[in-house]
Amino acid sequence: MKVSLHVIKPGSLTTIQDLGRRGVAQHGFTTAGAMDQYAARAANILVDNSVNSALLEVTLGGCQFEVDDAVDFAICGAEAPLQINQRYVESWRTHRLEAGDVLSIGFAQRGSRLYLAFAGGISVEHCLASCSTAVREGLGGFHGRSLQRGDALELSPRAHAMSARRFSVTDRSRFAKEVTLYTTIGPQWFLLKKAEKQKLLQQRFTISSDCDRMGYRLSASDPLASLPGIISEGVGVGAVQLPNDGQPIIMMRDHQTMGGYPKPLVLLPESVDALSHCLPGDVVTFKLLTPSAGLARYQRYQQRLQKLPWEYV
Amino acid sequence: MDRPRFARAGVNAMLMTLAETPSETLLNRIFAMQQWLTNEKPPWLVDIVPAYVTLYIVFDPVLIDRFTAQRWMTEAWSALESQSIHRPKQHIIPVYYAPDLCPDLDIVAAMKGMAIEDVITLHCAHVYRVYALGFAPGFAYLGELDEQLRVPRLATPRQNIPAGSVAIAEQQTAIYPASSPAGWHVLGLCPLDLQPTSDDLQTTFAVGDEVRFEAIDKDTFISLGGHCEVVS
Repeated sequence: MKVSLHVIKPGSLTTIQDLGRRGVAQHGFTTAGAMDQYAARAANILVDNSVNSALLEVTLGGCQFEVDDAVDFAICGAEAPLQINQRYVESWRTHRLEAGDVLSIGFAQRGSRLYLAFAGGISVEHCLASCSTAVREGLGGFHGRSLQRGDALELSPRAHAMSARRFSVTDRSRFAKEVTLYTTIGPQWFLLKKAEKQKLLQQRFTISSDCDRMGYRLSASDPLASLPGIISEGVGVGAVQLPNDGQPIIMMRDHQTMGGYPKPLVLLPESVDALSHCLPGDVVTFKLLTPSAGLARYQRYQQRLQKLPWEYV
Repeated sequence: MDRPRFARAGVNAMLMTLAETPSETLLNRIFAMQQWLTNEKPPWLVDIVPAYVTLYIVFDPVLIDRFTAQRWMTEAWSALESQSIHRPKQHIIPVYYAPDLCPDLDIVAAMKGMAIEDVITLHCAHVYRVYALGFAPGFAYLGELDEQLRVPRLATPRQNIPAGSVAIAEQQTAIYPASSPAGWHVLGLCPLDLQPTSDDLQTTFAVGDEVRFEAIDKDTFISLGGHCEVVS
């Protein structure tokens, strides 16, 4: 059975994502994938999809969708008013849409990305072993682009309706205007002089308006001294680049694969998830962990991602 | 450098530095290493990015600890030393060096105090090697450019240059597979479609490949599918 999801209002940037591409960076392709991997996994788990299933990533809300037949879905991530037809519904749980129902996502009030997973998944072709949309490369997802008014996605719902499930409040992400980013050292940490290390770790940085799926540029009141460039080398998600103007840029999921700026710090994956909900004007600080403390924190987060216990409503 | 040096690049990645400066011998070995890793596919290896003097490695710390991974990479690197040198693929890339479409030709010639013909001859005279892939899909960093041709990047990058633009910056030259913002000086246009297709991972170039440019005239450019677009 197939069900169509019609896009009435697409929002500013709504794309199909999964957990991203792996093994393709050596060919110049970005990894792409859900910006907040925690919320994306959570949404898929709620509807019994595999964690790497294709789902919708909605940026800042402002969307409206209509289905032509029944389907269960889950929505996790940023806090935004949700309505099925005129009725307000809760986030971080499953709901059922019937034929002709309209799902409206208002503007996000806390956080900025929402994940919409449909039971049985979205029918979309894999491209380089992933459904993720890389808009800059025009690759994957729905014709390599963000959704537009009038688009129709094909869903493949299961035959039976689900009993409603949700995450308890403690397992939902929390969003703040001021975020601590957990980091460990990057390859060029030792190029920094002591004073510059202090500037990096003791300063509050403001998120600039220059932030997207590729990277978040920060703005410091006390910019760091410029470092000598390096021979271009591979970069990964979470890397904190330090260009000549001393204002750090953090690499996000659509990051370029190579770069020639020094990288004194690298974010832990959980902090990439957290940062992806930040907006221009929000404030971040870097917290440097020792390698062993960083690894322990990473492992705890991975274990949390593996389990993610939901409950019946 | 006797042994590779490792730097931490976050909890699940490392940067393996193989030499201080790029060289053709190093390039052959990095390419061989990339091929070997691609075939070997250790389950803990998530991603690799080979570049001029480094291999960036993403691993799964749940499956392997950093130091075991480093030992494994070091052993693999040493083992490759004794192996026969791989034979790189060779590419001949047709380029329409068009002063009417590429104003930079004139600018570079003036900067270097030579005729446009000499710029073209010098650019075509070398066999370049692919030192790295990145920036965008299908984008290959080619080196080394003749010392007489080296110019800095543009002070203000262009918003958009056409797909197929053949450009230079410092000691590098490259072909832009897709239209893109660009800070390099554009010398000519290549009519071939070098953008990798989404159903085929294989980009035209691999690290270590040899690339030579061949000057073509306007008719050939058009017959090979080129579009006469002015770089502005």
